[in-house]
Amino acid sequence: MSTNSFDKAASSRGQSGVAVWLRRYEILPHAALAVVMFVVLLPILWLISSSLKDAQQFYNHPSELLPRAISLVNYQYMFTAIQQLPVYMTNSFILAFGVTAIQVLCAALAGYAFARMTFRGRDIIFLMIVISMFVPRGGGLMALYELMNFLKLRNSLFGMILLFGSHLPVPIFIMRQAFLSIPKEIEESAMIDGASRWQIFWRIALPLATSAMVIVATLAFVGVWSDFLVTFTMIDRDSQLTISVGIRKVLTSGYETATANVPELRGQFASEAADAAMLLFSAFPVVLIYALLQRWFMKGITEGAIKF
Amino acid sequence: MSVESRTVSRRSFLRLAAAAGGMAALAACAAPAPPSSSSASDGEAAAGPEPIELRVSILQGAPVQPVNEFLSEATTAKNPNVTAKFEFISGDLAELVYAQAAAGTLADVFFSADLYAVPFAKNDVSLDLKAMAEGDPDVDLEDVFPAMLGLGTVDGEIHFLPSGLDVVTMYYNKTLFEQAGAELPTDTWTWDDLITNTKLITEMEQDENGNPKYWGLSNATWNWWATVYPWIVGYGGLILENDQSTWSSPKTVEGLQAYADLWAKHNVAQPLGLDVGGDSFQLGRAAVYTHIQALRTPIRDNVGDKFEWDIQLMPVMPDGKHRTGMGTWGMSAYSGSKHPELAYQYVKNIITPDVQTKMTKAEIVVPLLRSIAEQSAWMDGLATPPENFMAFVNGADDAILPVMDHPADCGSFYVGVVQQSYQAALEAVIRGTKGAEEAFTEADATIQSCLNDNA
Amino acid sequence: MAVEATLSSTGTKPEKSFFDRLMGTKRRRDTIEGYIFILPVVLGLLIFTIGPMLASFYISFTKYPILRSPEWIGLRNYVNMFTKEPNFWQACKVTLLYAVTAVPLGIAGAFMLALLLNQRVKGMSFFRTSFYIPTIVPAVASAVLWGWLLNPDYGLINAMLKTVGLPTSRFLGEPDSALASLVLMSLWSVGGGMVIYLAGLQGIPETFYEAAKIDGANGRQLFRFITVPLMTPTLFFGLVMGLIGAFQYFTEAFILTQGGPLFSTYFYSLMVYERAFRFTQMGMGTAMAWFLLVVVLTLTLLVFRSSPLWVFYETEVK
Repeated sequence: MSTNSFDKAASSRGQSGVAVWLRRYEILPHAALAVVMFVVLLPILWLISSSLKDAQQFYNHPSELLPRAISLVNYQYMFTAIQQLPVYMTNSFILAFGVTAIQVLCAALAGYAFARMTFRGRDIIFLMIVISMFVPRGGGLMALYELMNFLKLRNSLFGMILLFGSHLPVPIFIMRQAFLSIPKEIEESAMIDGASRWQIFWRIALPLATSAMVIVATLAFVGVWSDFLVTFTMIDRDSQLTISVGIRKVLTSGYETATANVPELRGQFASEAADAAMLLFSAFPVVLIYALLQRWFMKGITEGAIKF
Repeated sequence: MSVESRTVSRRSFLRLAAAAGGMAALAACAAPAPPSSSSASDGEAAAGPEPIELRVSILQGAPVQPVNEFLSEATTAKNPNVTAKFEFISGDLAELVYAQAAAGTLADVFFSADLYAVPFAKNDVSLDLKAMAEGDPDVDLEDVFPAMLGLGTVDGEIHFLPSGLDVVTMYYNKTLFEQAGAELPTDTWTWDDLITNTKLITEMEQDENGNPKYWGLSNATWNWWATVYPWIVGYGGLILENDQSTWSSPKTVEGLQAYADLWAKHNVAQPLGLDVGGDSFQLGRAAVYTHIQALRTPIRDNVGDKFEWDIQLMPVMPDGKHRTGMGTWGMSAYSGSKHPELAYQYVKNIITPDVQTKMTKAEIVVPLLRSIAEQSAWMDGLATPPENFMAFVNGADDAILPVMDHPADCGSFYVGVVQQSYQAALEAVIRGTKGAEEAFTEADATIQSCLNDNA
Repeated sequence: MAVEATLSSTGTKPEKSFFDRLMGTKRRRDTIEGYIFILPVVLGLLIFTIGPMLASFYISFTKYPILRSPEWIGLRNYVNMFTKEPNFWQACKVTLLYAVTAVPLGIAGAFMLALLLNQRVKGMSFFRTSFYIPTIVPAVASAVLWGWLLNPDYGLINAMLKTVGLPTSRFLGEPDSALASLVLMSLWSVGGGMVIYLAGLQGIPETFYEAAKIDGANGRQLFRFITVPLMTPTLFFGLVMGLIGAFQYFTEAFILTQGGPLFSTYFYSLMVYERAFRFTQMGMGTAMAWFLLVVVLTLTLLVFRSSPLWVFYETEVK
């Protein structure tokens, strides 16, 4: 299944002892991959190691990837001085889970309708949804801002859930593909047995589209978690901020006020190292969610859920 | 900083979301609504037993919150039936104030600052306090440094009362000057003296690519109007004359070029876009940093005993004056307040001798009343460094006010087309990609086009 | 769950006969059910996409400083945008330059990684997961992180360049290198495209290669005549999504450069944002946004139109 041209390219070339050895153990691709992986993960490693350095280590040896002694001062500072972090985190979770639930449900319903049901205007509506994929999100921001203001939904997580939850072109696309790839016969036999449309959708089609739903859910969760522009525009109240926007606020607002909360830590941590801890903190939940879902996510993608 | 109490905000989440102005509505719900108190009966209400809650919208934490505690105390002392209720705001202040003003839910008194004076005044958000202040025996407007009062003065009306004497002053790293064998800044230094001496600092140590390790001047405030505009005035230039944008007039260009030459020609300033991982002055990499008095506390805390530092007057410009700018925050009264007189009574305390002294002793401000600032008593017992406290005061009379005459749609020194145009031109000149005349002729064209559209 | 209630009630409630009559033929029933299924989506589309778009179309013909009401000024925003805005064409240039560099480089990088991974490598899923991680790191976090890595004074990248004796760079601090630095940064997340291309590669039936080999094709020919053509639909998807992303590029530039130095990273979306929310010129900002929309739609259409020339659909051989 997964052999391809490069292997064959190698096998058709002239053979020397080294070449055979290289080929047998697939040394070259492994080495190349290891190098790429190091480059890709280097920034993250550096971030982790920086977050574990105290001020003295960070300033004297900023580029060392292994801290000489592990210090938790940055985390201590982060959790004691930056009191609004738990609020941001909670908001992000509410928003991300809310949007994910809405997107998965709505996209599954619509995706199924577009894949399996025939009704007037179906294709034109689907076309409009596809076109809306190309409408720059930032471009409509001014009108969205006015709209959210008008609906009294600015500065409201509920409003943000509706706003993000309604942006469905890609999820619908993915779900429609998934339903299209289910053999029609399965549903037809259920239909003959007297099952209603809803029952067929809920009991038969949906379970067969699990990996597509996982993809939609993962993309929704990750997308909402890292959104900056829309949240930044729609929310300016601290109590409703998400972690992505909130973290930037903390990073740009300086350390004077925050350090006042924990005077005993003054001078013990480097501000970048504390920032590093905060960045890791902000990314951790989404990486964790991804790690939990990645098996199904990758399975879904491998099954070809994302393509035109 | 966290704003309102979390539990309240969670519980009343939907109600809040459905109410205009969000947070203000929360306070509005909680506030008693005395229907009788109109502006006409304020005096009576103040004397009467009926309790009045004055809503005060401020930033949380130092310096604004402690100052407002003084103001609140002073207000209640005089009007026992009046209590101040703080509402903490964060985020984009202008946007929030506009939204609340549009919904009529803005607090009676609110935090303001130099950059908001014009937009809040021109959009009728803030109340003109001038008449009330002039008739008030408790305050003496003549005693306030004109440079500070002027920041809140728009078309002759006073739209916020400033908190302190926040004139831009020169912070310098004594240790670095001494290491480089340079003379220490004096109060008669010209900019040429500064350039000559800081060159020694810049030349002291270089890395393998020839980049200096230390610089004479920090780049932290390079494009702030309070840094840039003094050069224009100091060289006798103007930026706006009879509705004509004059950034490219000869004297203005001369001043701007002289400023840009700190980088382009003399190479004594920290390059633009070179972030050293924090404030270069506090890290000991830049010898001179120009900012207001409020920075003394964080600088003292962060520098610790890494090096010695002090402050000095800004160097003298060709016009013979220690040209400098300033920036401050203060308090405004809402034009739609139900208690305009009481709102004024609250705000005015910020410039009374009593509160100014308290704020000074709490090391939040340098007093903006001439009668206090020009005597030495206010400095007694303040933490050091700096030692040369009078440098904060002595620059005040050479300080110049920002130009506030552009139409609101063209912005100002603080925002919009004017700000973007001058900063872009200045950056090009500093980086040496354009000459001052060329760059500022372009800036003029852009600004003029906006002026014409909004004439 | 109104939908569920409505649908499941059809079987038991006494209204059954009425409901049946309402539903009528299967075709009509399908229509009504279909509408119910897509109702939430259509409502969302109307309220949060089409509504604002229509409103913004109107706003784009007005002078609208947030606090006052919009004032109709006809085409003046559009005319001024093309003729008077000093940085408009710079913003177009920056965005286009980014799109034509970051998108192809990203696709090439992702495709090469996918090809590498598609060999019989051990720990394939481990590599795949690792490469994907940068794409899920929130944009704010990755922007700040890269700001440090690229810092000219204490950044890791310059430190490494120094160690191996290569010349260092000011990266984001100089007009010449800032945009290139952002392109470089964008390559960090090629993992997103890679997983899709890898899926595409794994979907190519082995029999195609077998058959071609019997016909005497060598490795290069297999790649040229089987892998590439069969991958074009997936690459096409990557191209379209990449272009859309590139034209909306905002967060990293907003956090790291704010469009500077000297407008060298003044992306179109930054300009729109600045006009609307910093300068409070909602009318002009919206007009600019509409121009971007037209350009993106036109470009996408062109890309779709061009697709028969180079995108190869599997069905054509099956």
